[in-house]
Amino acid sequence: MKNHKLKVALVHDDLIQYGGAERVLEIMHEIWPDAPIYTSMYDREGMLIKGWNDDGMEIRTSRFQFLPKKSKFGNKFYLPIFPLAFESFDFSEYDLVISSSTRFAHGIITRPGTCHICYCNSPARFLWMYSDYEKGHGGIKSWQKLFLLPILHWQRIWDQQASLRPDFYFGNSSIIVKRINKLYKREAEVMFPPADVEKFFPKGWVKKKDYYVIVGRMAGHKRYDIAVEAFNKLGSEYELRLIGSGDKLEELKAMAKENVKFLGYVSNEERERQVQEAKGFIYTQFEDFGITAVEGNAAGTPVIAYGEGGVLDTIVDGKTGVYFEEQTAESLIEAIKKFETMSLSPKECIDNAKRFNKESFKNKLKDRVEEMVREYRDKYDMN
Amino acid sequence: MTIDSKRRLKVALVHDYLQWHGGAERVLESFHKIWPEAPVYTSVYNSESMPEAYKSWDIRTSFMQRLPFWSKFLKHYSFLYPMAFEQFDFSGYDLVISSSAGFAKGIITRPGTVHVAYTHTPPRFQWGYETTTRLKLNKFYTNIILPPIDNYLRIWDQCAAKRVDYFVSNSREVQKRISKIYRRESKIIFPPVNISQFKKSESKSGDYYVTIGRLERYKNFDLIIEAFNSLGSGYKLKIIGGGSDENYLRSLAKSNIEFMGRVSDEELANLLSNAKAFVYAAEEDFGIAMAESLAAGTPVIAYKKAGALEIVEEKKSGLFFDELSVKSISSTITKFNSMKFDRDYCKKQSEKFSEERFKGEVLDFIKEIKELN
Repeated sequence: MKNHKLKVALVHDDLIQYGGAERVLEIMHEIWPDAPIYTSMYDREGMLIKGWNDDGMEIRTSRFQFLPKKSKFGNKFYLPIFPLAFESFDFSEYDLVISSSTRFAHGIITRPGTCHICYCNSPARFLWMYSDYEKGHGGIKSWQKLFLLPILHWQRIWDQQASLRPDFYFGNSSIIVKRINKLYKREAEVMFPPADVEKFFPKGWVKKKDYYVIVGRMAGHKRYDIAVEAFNKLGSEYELRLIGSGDKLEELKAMAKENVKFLGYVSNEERERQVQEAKGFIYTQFEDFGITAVEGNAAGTPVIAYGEGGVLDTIVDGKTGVYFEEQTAESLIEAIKKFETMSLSPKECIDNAKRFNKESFKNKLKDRVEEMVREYRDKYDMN
Repeated sequence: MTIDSKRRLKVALVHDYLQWHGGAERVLESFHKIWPEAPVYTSVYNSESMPEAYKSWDIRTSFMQRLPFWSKFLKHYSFLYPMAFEQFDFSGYDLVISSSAGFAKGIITRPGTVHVAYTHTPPRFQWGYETTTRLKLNKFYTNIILPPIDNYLRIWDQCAAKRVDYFVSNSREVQKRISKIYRRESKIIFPPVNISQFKKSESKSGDYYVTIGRLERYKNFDLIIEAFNSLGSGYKLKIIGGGSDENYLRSLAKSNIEFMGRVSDEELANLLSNAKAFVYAAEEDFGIAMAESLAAGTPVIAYKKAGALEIVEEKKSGLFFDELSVKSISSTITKFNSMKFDRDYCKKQSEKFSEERFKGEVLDFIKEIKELN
């Protein structure tokens, strides 16, 4: 490789919500602090309120930046503009562009002089897992479908072609790699996202108490209902504590017996303590990766998890947790009873979680990206 | 069918459009020389702007030929090309060769027909390269009207690339673009350059530099002119060619710069043969003019990018400048002025671009195609 510093740019779908994908972007920016961030739209005020910090970031928006950023509205109504926004950027001055994509960012156009690596959080769920998307939005009205479905149809065709544009793919978990293989017929390698595991590490010796814990937003797809049902059936010897709030909170409260307790929102310290002292961490949801399961292990607590999706990557069955096979109360009860007969080591759980810490993510990503760029530059004779 | 019976191969040629006479059309002519019987399928054909010889060809146009005022609005009809090429029926042919910088590769052939795509470049305007027409359009057009059309054409272009059985690229640069955009392999065959026309004249370094091309913004003639302005009257430059930027360029130039307009082939060969060097600042997919200059024995001073890297050998048949800037160009010219170049060596180097060599490589390539054996 020529001895000059690589000129790098980052690309992200949009900066409107501050969620997991944006946290990964922040850390990529720590690796390449000089890289400008290209994005379709940036809602600066909205993001800052949620704790986003753009100090030292150079954010370059598309020509659609002027549109109002009411994200609830935007997601659907702005759909048609995103492919156009990403295709309009010019990256000819960069050696390397990394797109962080959950929807459209991988559709950028780079010339042979620029290596394009995509960090894929998932191929767009509303395109390729539409039924889940519809359920997640509590159904979509017929009149909305009238314009939404043709747009999604066009975007599926676009996305399949756009999937040729990255030179290399990372998938954020095994399941995403499979989706990339299946939908795009492209190779991809796993690069787990970083989890903020350190803050869950116990500071000293922790005395385990006799309860199980759930941490998360009380949303329908998390299926906390089966956990409540299971503990209802297990009876008063088994205690479950739920931390967090959300749409389904009242519904869950209404069905819960006395051994199921709702702590609502608690402070970070309190949450960490609750997870550290719990006997087991209950994980009923299906996630592509699932950071909270890793946090459970980080606190030294084994995770009793629905054995699909990200947990297969993150939780070691029989060592740092126990899987249950069906997303039902019966299956969960069986797993809890099995778990009670085992004694899993907190240390092993913590060591397992360490694999996902931020520093090792940064090192791995940086190393692999550099190798990819070398391979690319060999192929396009730029060394 | 064996290759010995290649005369019996039924061949058709396809070309984007016959509207201007440029580098791509010269390639088509060479294909036509190999297979003179082959019909040429194209979207539109403007017999007035094409050489006389085309009149004896079997040219088959698409429905676009019948569009009203097509010659005037051609550029606005870009969204129609995909349809035009999809209408042609090649079911009787063994081999179809498309010569394309855009849409011709989107033809549809059945399994009995092999489709070889000689690619001048993937369509420039869709894949991040500037084009003449694009630069002249107003903001409303480029920001509002074109993005959705381009989005559709890009999707189509990537689909169309799947219809090609074998890609041939005109240079390493284009091979890279094919690999990057379509994720397809391709074989490089340099385009044919009519070197004999330039070789016959006596080559002697005169007292002037020369540059040739369509005077369009993206060819960066303004930088060359500014460089010669700054070098002063000791350095003479002759500019050959016309184009929409001519008046503007003339207004920039000082008295050491002369505009020759369009010249005859013979005159061109003479002007080239007696020039000190050929200065070129365009970033070309291949750049036939540079090969022609070498054939005339004249070294080339070129921007170190894309096609130039394959034609010019640093310090042997020319010099490169690293940046597209007046300073970089003028300092390279002064450096050149203090060096000696072997004009016979340049002539010899041009042979790797000859038309004979092109024919040979094309026929060898066809011979290797397993479906034709």
